[in-house]
Amino acid sequence: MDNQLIKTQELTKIYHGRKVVDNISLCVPEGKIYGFLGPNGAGKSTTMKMLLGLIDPSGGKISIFGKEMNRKNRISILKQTGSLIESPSYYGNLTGYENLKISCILKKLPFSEISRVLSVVRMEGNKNKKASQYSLGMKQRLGLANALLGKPSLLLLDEPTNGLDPAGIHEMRSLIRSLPEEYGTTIMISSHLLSEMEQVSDYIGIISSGKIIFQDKLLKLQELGSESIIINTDDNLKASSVIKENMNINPEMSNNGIILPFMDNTTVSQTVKCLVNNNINIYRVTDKTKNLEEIYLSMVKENGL
Amino acid sequence: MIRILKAESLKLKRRYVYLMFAMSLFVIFLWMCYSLSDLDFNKFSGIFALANTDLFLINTIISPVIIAAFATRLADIELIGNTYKWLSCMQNTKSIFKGKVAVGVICIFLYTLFQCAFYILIGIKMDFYSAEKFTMFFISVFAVLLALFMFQLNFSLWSKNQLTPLFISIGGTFAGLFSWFLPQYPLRFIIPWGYFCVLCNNGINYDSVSRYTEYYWTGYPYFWLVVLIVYIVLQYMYTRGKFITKIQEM
Ligand SMILES: Nc1ncnc2c1ncn2[C@@H]1O[C@H](COP(=O)(O)OP(=O)(O)OP(=O)(O)O)[C@@H](O)[C@H]1O
Ligand SMILES: [Mg+2]
Repeated sequence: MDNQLIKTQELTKIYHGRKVVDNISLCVPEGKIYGFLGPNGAGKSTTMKMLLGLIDPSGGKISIFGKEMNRKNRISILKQTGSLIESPSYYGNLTGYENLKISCILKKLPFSEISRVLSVVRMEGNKNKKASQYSLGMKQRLGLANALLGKPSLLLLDEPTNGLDPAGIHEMRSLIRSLPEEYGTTIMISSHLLSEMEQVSDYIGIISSGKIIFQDKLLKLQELGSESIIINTDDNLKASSVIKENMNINPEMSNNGIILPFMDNTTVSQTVKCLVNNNINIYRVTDKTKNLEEIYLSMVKENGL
Repeated sequence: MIRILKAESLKLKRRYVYLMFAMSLFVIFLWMCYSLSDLDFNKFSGIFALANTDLFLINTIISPVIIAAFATRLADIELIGNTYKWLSCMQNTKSIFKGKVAVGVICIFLYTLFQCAFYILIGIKMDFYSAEKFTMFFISVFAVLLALFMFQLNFSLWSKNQLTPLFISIGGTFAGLFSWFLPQYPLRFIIPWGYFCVLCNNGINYDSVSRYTEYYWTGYPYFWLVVLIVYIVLQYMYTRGKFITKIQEM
């Protein structure tokens, strides 16, 4: 089992008597990318703010780097952490470069870090422009550059692709993927889009109405996508009854073909043989995986949202 | 603390804060030159006391707005840029607040120091010198400015609309001016703007027959200075507590 870099126990946040984050126990393994998924208002940002000690939990415990997150440890834990929470933060009267300088001063980092992170997020060209004149995507990049200052061993990114153009999203994705390999960084990244997370994450946590409804390897989530097999023939009706009689399987008819439940390879070949023996021409046999988005949506729906 | 001050002063870049103070000092300088030129020494006495009164009066008129604008400048960049969250990930919430106050104290200290330098210059030119009076002038002005700063900061730190604190300071300026001319009302003791008047320990005797004016010194109102200092401390603690809870809600 991997080392858990972030661990929470029964973490809860109550706003005005409503449990916005409800008893969640997160495990974020070291050196991995953890995708934190959930619909709007699920409690993602609230959870991440608690992880950063920006707001106090109403209950439960957080441990990061094996240290308990509290008022006393907070700043020392955060020294090794880069973060980007919700909307980007910046000083409009300062240039991008000067904005990063503030962080370097406060985090005791050499100014040489600034040019490094600026080139990582491809913002060298805009470093002398005032941040108030940046576009949303540029502000987001500045925020990311800020999070990357000092090569932190943990990154908490709250919807980092917000406001980025497709090329920017692509760059961001490859950047995020490269970090664990290059520096062993652990990354927790939140999003509403499973399709986005699917491409970067090793682990997925799904939160809905403040509750964790799934937390495991991405592969496990993919396995949950119950597969089925679709067969198309020149006479689907006849084929269906042949399968029913000979194979003891209950086929389902649809416009796309005959839908059969998941079968192993031998059963598939037997079925095909049987159809051929009955003089049915087979056009195609395909696997159908329920896509992850559907799994996600059905999970969230089950939870009553 | 040095790092926090460094960061804080970088944040003020291109905000013309220092220019604002310099202009204000220039106005004070002009006013003093104007008020002390062409004095008819047959008609009055007590130039030392006159200069003191004049400095307090001009401070009543221009400093509250300058201090309010200064507090606004310190706070609005954080609100506009949504930076409190970012800063809180690098420093304690308390130290953000302390940094703001420290910058305020330093700027106000220098602002007062320059004024005190004018006063001493006038003294040298007019041939009077009293280290005690100069010191008390410095302490009084510094204390009132600091009280005004703490008062304004309390609004500016979380007010999305920074015009409100400015309007409050303009209202305060008028209230402060009234307190000079309405000595029979205790108004000046209950508002921070009134303390320029409270701590100005001069009096005027005007004889309408001979048209002779005498500016004189009265005993220093130490009691009210202590009251003012207590107010500064209380306001500081109150604002700090409120700041920490407000930041959590943002
Ligand atoms: N300061 C606050 N006071 C009261 N309620 C709050 C506060 N902050 C968040 N909430 C509530 O907590 C819930 C979760 O908010 P949160 O910002 O964590 O959602 P999210 O998962 O980040 O959503 P999104 O995807 O829209 O960013 C929401 O219902 C929100 O209304
Ligand atoms: Mg959010």
